[in-house]
Amino acid sequence: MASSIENNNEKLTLKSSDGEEFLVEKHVALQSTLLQNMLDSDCSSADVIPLPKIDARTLALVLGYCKKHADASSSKQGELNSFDSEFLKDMDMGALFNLVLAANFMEIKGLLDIAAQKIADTIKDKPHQEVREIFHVENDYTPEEEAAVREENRWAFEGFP
Amino acid sequence: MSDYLPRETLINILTRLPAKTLLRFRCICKSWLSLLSSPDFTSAHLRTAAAKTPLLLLRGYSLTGLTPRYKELYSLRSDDANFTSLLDLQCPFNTRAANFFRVVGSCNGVICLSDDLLGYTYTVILWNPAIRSEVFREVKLPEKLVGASPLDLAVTGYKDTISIFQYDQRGPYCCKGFTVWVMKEYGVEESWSKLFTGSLNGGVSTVLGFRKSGEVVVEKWDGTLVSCQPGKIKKMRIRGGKESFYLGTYAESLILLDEGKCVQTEDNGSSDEVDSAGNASVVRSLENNSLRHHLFAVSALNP
Repeated sequence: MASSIENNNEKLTLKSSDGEEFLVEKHVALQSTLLQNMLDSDCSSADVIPLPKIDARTLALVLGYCKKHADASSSKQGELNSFDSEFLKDMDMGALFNLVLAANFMEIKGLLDIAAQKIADTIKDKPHQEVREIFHVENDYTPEEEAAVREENRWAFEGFP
Repeated sequence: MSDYLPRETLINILTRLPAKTLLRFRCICKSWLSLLSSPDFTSAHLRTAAAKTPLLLLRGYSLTGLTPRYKELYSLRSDDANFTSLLDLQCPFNTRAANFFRVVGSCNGVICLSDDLLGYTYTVILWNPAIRSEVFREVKLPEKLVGASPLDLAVTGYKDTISIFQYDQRGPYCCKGFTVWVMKEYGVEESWSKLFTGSLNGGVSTVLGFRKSGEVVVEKWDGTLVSCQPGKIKKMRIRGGKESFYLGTYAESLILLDEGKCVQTEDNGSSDEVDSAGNASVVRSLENNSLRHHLFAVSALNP
């Protein structure tokens, strides 16, 4: 029995966590090291590759990124750079985190780099409470403990209330 | 740690932040404090930072704060066009007299300080203990410098090789100009050649060292810094106490040096103040008849 790859010639199907299927050209999928390894090791004969951790909205974004980067020739680096910054421009933190997680899981280094950098740039000057909310962490210091840690690193707080 | 992000991904994001922000973020929560202090985070951060910006270590001596003593200022600077100050290092040591240390040099993340500028007080300090062995060998001077007074010469690293700064008849505090010699091929004595000569209005105090660009940073007679290359002198807008500056390349492993803990062992009491909390690494006290070296070691995060 022939695999779906051979049937579809150069395409494969990805399925998001919420059940949506995406038909992807093979050269686009190769932007992902995870998918590349699956194709290389011939694990791709399944009809559909499930990506249980990635929702449809995020997967659509990821595949948009992959398509742009797969189709652009290497001589168009400037164009790709402006695509990258435009791509992330108005994205909210939730979407950025989803992208980072997806890029990490699918092993798409370029996307992981730009999304992680965008998050870092955004939180750099944010007050602590906002950073805690963004990363879903609780302040588990007692006021005395927090004051002590703060005191140890006092110089780093210049300009922060 | 929250399950919101895997540790690996959190590290990927946070290593992109400047050291100063990361110190501040230790207050976010206990798990962040522990992550940001962990050796795997530190080395990942160093790799990221090193890939981005090469660093220089600059030491100066503030003109203000006369009491109780002058303040030594150590800072890490990015070796790019802005010479941005990335991090101020707190020197945990004090000289015996109200004075500053002579920076003997820095290598592989270890800074050697000597308290000998106001009389020799026999104290040598190695700041940070990731002390790696170094191999020394003799290298001949350029022929033209044979016979020159050692006081007029200073050796420094230049790209992959070495360079000599030769002062024109150095007086007690300054001289008119200097010549930069470079050993074009390291270890090949025939390859010594004169790179350029410089002279400054008012005089040169100390030639501090090379930038990556090949420019030479010079302290003028009045304690201001200029950047020199053939035919071009640029003011750097940095000023400090005369003769107080030191500049050297810096190993990235020292980025969080202020985190180091240190200890001293001595056979008698000392007025030096050191932070002696926890995590001490090996410290030794050596003695011979005429000299007593106090070796202080500061443990690095990445031993």
